[in-house]
Amino acid sequence: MSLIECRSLCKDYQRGGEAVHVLDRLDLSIDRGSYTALMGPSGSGKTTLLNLLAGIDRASSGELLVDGTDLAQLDRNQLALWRSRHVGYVFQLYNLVPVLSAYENVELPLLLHDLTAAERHRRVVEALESVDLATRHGHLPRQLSGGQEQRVAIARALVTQPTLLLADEPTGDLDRTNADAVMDLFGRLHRERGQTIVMVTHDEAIARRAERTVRLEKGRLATVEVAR
Amino acid sequence: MTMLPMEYSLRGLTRGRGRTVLALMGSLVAGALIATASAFLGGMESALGSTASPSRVIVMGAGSEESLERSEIGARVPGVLSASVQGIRRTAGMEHVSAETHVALPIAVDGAEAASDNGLVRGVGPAALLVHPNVQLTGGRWPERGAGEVLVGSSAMRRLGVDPAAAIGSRVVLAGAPLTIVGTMQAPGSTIDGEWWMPLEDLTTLMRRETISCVIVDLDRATIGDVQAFTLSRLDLELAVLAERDYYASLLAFFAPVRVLVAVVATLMALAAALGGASALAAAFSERVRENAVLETLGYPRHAVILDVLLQCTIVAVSGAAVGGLLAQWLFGGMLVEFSMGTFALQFDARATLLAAVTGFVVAIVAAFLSTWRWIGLPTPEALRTT
Repeated sequence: MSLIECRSLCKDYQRGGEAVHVLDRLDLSIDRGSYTALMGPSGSGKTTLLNLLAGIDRASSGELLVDGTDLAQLDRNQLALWRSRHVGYVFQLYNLVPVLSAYENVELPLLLHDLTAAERHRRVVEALESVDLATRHGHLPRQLSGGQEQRVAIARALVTQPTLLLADEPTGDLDRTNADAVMDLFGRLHRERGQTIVMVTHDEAIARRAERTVRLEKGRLATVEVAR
Repeated sequence: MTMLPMEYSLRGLTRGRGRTVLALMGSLVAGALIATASAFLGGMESALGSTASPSRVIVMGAGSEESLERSEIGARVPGVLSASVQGIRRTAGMEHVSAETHVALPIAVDGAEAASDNGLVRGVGPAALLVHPNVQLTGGRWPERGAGEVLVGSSAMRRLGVDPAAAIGSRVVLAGAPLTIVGTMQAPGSTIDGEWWMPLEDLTTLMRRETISCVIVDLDRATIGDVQAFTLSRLDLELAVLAERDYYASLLAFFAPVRVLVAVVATLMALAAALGGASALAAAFSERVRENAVLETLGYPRHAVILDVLLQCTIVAVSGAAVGGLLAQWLFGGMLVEFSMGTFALQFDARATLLAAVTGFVVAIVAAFLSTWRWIGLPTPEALRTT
């Protein structure tokens, strides 16, 4: 059953008075519980598609339904609220708030939910345990390694139990050991929780960890490869 | 309304501490300047305002309405006026009619080589206490006629650097004449607090004049129209009458350019300090464009992020300005300012504090606007790519 439906999706930018078609009538369907890698050369529209799926950018035309919601119908504040309920976003550069501890960073998106303090605490502890950082609650981002920071960022993305986990080059700033650890974590989340994951990557080895690889070229769907 | 947690706002202030301190200092200077200007204007307005009463009128020389010090009327005017106008207030059989002479004289503490100060000296009789009920004798006694004695206001004594409590018995020299302080008085908030009072006849003799400056009359049933009728019926006396309130209002209007100048100069200086503070704050916050975009990606609406920036700016700027206001009060509170009508004290009141706080809030709004302007103008994906 598809969670995401893109129909004739277009995204244009004006650059120097000239229209640049970043996404050009893209049709794509992503199933609930699937694990998809988005690949393609620079400028092919991978990150733009990810931003559209997250509701932080708007399509120029076409239709984008995520879990039955037409994102084009939501205004900016409604999109923010929708994102807080449905989307977990992992950035390449982690983007943790430097003055908040690991625990507080993970708790930050939960404060938008109507939860008791005890329930919030339970979820934060669980999220940090799931990324093997149960002993790093009080650490500030600068006191953590890059791999640990990214795992905190993943815990922050997961703590709201989002419908959709989006990751933009999540291993792009990590060494191979840490990249493997993050990918193991994604695999576990997918297998054990049935988490729907859409991940942008340039790395073929990383993409092979997903069950499906979608390749984009010049804003269009080039190929879809399913892992054996 | 969705808000970011307070811990985030408070800890946000610990980032870029140098800039936070600069912003704090800018707001502090702006707050201090605005509070001091307000205290100056408030002190002057209060001194002139509280000196006047709605029931009192001043009878003075025609053509001298702008200044009592220039006014000269005959010494017999009080008696003629008292006999001609019915309905003047009386207390224990004594009419509230005060013949007075007002002169500005150099005053020195005895033994000093040169005059230490210029002071307003008022020649009065006992009826002065009836028409100036805000005057309280705080020590000593009323000066006796012909004995070279003087009564001093608490602000006047402080201006000469003498403790009013220890003033009685001190010797001063007024226009070359040695006098003894036999009493102290107080008229809080009024220009009289900065004056010297002596018997009318003594001052008239000292000044070698035969005229007095004015008659101050407290009306009961009579109206100012009755007094005007008297002055018009006695054109030979060349008199004019003004409601005391109008006289001091015209003085306030006379000093309007000074007040405007003080307000403008203080505002301009405060503006420079405030802009310095605001730009330091804005510089600290404008580095957080990507962080703001991350918060938006996590689900925080824009207004929550903007409110948080405003809150952080407000904490820094308002606390800086409030401390500035308090510092100014501590440094300059009660400071006496001399002007041609006497002396007034800087008045640090609720208005001064409020204006300092408002100054801080304006700094905060400007800083928050400058801080978030760049982020608001950027689409979120672009904001996420900023460094």
